[in-house]
Parts: sequence; C-alpha cells; structure tokens
Amino acid sequence: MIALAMGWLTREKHSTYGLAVTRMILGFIVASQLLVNWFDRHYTWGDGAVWTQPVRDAKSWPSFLGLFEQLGGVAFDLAYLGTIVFGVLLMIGYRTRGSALVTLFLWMSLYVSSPFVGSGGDAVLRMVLLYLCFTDSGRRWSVDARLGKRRGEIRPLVPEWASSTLHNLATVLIIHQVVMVYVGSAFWKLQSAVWKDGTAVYYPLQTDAYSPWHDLLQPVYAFGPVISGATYTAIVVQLFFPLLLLYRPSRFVALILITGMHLGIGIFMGILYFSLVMIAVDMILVSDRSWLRAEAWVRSRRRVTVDTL
Amino acid sequence: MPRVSLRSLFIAVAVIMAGFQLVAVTLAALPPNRYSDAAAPRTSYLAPYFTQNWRLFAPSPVAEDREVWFQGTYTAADGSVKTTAWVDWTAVELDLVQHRLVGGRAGYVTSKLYGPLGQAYRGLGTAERETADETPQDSPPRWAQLRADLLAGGASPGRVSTFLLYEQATARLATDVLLSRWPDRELTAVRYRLRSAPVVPYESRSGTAAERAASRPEATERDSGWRRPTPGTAAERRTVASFDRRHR
Repeated sequence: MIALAMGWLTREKHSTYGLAVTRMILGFIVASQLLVNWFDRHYTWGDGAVWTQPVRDAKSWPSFLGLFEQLGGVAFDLAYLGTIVFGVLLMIGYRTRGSALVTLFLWMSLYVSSPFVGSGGDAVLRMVLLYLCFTDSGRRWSVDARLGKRRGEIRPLVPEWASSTLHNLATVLIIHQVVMVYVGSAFWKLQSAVWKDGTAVYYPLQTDAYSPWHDLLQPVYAFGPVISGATYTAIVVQLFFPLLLLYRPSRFVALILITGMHLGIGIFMGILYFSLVMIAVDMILVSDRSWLRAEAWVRSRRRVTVDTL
Repeated sequence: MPRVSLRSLFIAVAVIMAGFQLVAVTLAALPPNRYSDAAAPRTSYLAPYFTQNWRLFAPSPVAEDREVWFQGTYTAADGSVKTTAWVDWTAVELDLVQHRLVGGRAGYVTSKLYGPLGQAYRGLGTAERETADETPQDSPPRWAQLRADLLAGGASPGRVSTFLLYEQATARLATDVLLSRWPDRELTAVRYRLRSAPVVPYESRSGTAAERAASRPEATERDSGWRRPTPGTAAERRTVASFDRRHR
C-alpha cells in the first residue's frame, strides 16, 4: 500500500493537462481583469484608495507586499502593466514557474493595497496560485513545452522524484481547497431557513449590487420554480461534490452542473471573475485522458476544416 | 538504526506538511464546530493568506441594498454655515455593476465598507455610541479628542481603535467625495449615513412594479456624528473626482 502510494507520488506528475488549463485561465483572469479595470485602476487600487490606509495598516499582511502602496502616477501604471504582462506570460506558459511566482507577487501586492476590493474569488486565486508555483503547470500546452520539444531534454536541476512529489502534493492541495470551498459553503447554507425552503437565491437577485440585470429579468426572478431549482441545485451540488468526484460518470455530471452553476452566478449576479476562478480550478478534475481526447477532437476538426478549404 | 535516505526524508517531510495543511484547511473551512474550535490555536497560522471564509451568500444571503452616503457643512460667502445635499456614493460606484457582464472591481468598495463600518460602531457600548454620534457640527473633535472621550466612558481600547480607524478612513473618503462635488466650498465638518433598504419580500415578487415598490419594508438609516474634514493628497482628490465624473 505504502509502495503504491510512493509510486503514485514520485514516479510521474499527475493532472498535467488539467493544470495547464487552470494555469491558462488564471493567467487570463489576472491579465484581463486588470485590463477591464484600466480606467478605474487609480480609484480601485492606486491614489484613490489611499483613504483606506488606516484599515490597510491594521491588516496583518507582510510589508514586502507593499509595492503598489508605495507607487503613484506613472510608476503605479508601469507596475500595473507589468502585472498584466506577467499574467499573459503565465497564460501562455513562458518561463512558467518564474512567471507564476512574479504574477503571484504582483497580484498580491495589488490585492493588499485596497482592503475593500477583495472577494472570495481573489482568495481562491491567491491560494491556488501559490500551490501552482510548486507544480509543473507549464509541462503541457505552453510555450515552455514547445521550446523544450525543439531544443530537447535539459537535465533538470531538481531530481524528478522530488519535483514529482511537490507537483502531486500541490495538486492534491489545490483539489482539496476547491472541495472545501464547496463543502464549507454548503454547510453554511444548511444552517439557514431561506436556503432550506428554496428561496435564498431570490434575495441577492433583488439587490442592486448583486443583480446587474434585475430590472430586465424581474419576471424570471419572480418565477418560483426557477428560484427553488437554483437554490436546491446549489446546495446539493456543493454538498455532494466530493462524493460525485469518486466515480467517473458522476464526476462528469458534477463538473457540468458546477460549471453551469458558476456561469449562472457569474452572469446573473455580476461576479464573473469569481466564477471563472472556480471553473479554472475545477478543470484540474478533468482527467488527462479526457483532455487528450478533447485535443485529438480539436485537431481532427481543424484538419477537416483545412481540407474543406 | 535503519539508514534514512535523503529521498525518504524529503518525501516524508513534504507529505507531513501537506497533510497538516490539508487537515488545517478542512477544520478552518467548516462552520464553527467543537473540533474546529479546539484546533483553532493550531490553525491560526492560516490567516491571512489561507483564511477560509466560504459563507458565499450563506447562511443568510444579502437581502437589502446597502448604501453609504456623505454630507458636509461649509461656510457660505455670507459667513453662515450651510449643509450640502447628501451624496449617495454607493450609487456612483454601482454604475460599474449595472448592466455590465463584467463589473468593475470598484463597484463594491462602499458595499464592502458598509459591513465593518457598522460592526465597529456596534462594538462600542451604548454610552460610547452616543458620544460618537453627538459630536458638535460646528466644531467636530480632533481624532485624539474623540478617542479620549470614548475611552473616558470605559470603552475597550481595542474596540475604540477599530471604530476610529474605520471612521478615519470613511471621513477621508467623505471629504474627497464632497470636495469633488463642490471643490470651491470650504468644508467645516463631514459625516456619513449608512442606509439599508430591504428588497421586495418573496411573497410580493409577482406584483406590478408599483406594488413591489410599495411592499418593500422601510429602509433603516444611521447617521454618524460630525467629523473633521480630512482631505486626501491632491492626487487622491483628483482620482476620486475623476471617478465621480465618469460614473455619477
């Protein structure tokens, strides 16, 4: 048993394709989110957020994350652009481990500069990004992988068994973290009458902050079956997520349901980036075999399209 | 004694550390229970980086519009003291959220300030809350004076400090916002209002727009005491004013 576990841990790196997808989406989230917020960047994290200083100083973040707090004007903009660039490098997988580390540092420095901007999505993002630094997330579908193929194998600095151990343990911790988000959240929901009576989803959908389309979609939000269906689906899928992962067909169903749930939350509640972070991490749960099948399908479709043209 | 190879040692340490982290995250992520509470001293290392707070609209989902408003007093040309109109700053920020597929991150700043601001206030005793609320409009106290007044009533120093740091931050934003609306006015005092407007009750969801609006329970409001205006740097004021122009 121990030998089997040691073999699983040290012989090969698991979920390399899933991690590549997670890496690409997380890099995209960092880069695109900063681009979307470009025009309001100074109010959100820069000079316009200095009023938060008394609260910021009371938080226990280490001082080395104070980069953006120290910068203003053009220097702030350059660091902001640098974060976008490193997000893109992480997405395409160029010098992946280094890009992941720098992206994490810059993103965290930006995050701590305004205590009233962070969200649950940011919390998951920072935890997963840190774990990602211990994985070989650039092994597949990356610029590094292409360069590696072209120049051939380079003798690694760290023995393969050590790097595989860290990679696999970090992957387990990422999956565990996302499972705990779902299970913890489901347990909180079970303590509330409105979640149990199937009406909970209705309330945030009536607020200005968490319902960007409520003036247009009011008839839908007033339809009881839609509300109770969404409420119960959220509880059941989150609560039984770890159990559904154990069996391949149910895992497939769980991933479809949870991805649908996230897209719904993201679009209808206006928190798309939180949803994208969770979808990114869920992608690790798709097996390497399934990703390879998907890749083969995309390649065959591309060939058919080229032949037709 | 059996010889331990570097490889075995490395793997054992890595597995133990990962296992410990896995158990700590599990205990911290669950709602309060006797096992998590007992382990709390050993899982405290998780904060702030690995803080596990996955309430996500639970147990009670947000069911009201939470707004932060600002108002100030200023000296008019004739020497009299006048009061500005209230500025609903949350409404300005929500321009980044309404009808947008990807909302701006600044859309939720005062929505997120609302909770801790009220919590810090409720952390004070009844007498201290009165002291904080009844500061004079014509000569708001300095922060050191307000602290001394609150402590004189026997309030916990920790709670007073927490209250004051949120008040200081909010007074500074209030000043920047009011100066953005009325740059030529010389502010003499500022204050904020926390307004909570419950949503249409579930039972009334199918009515007409007018019926639904009428069915909303009455909003609750709390006005803070008057605080000394605390203008930010020129760059800070420019940024707030530019944000205001784009989204008001």
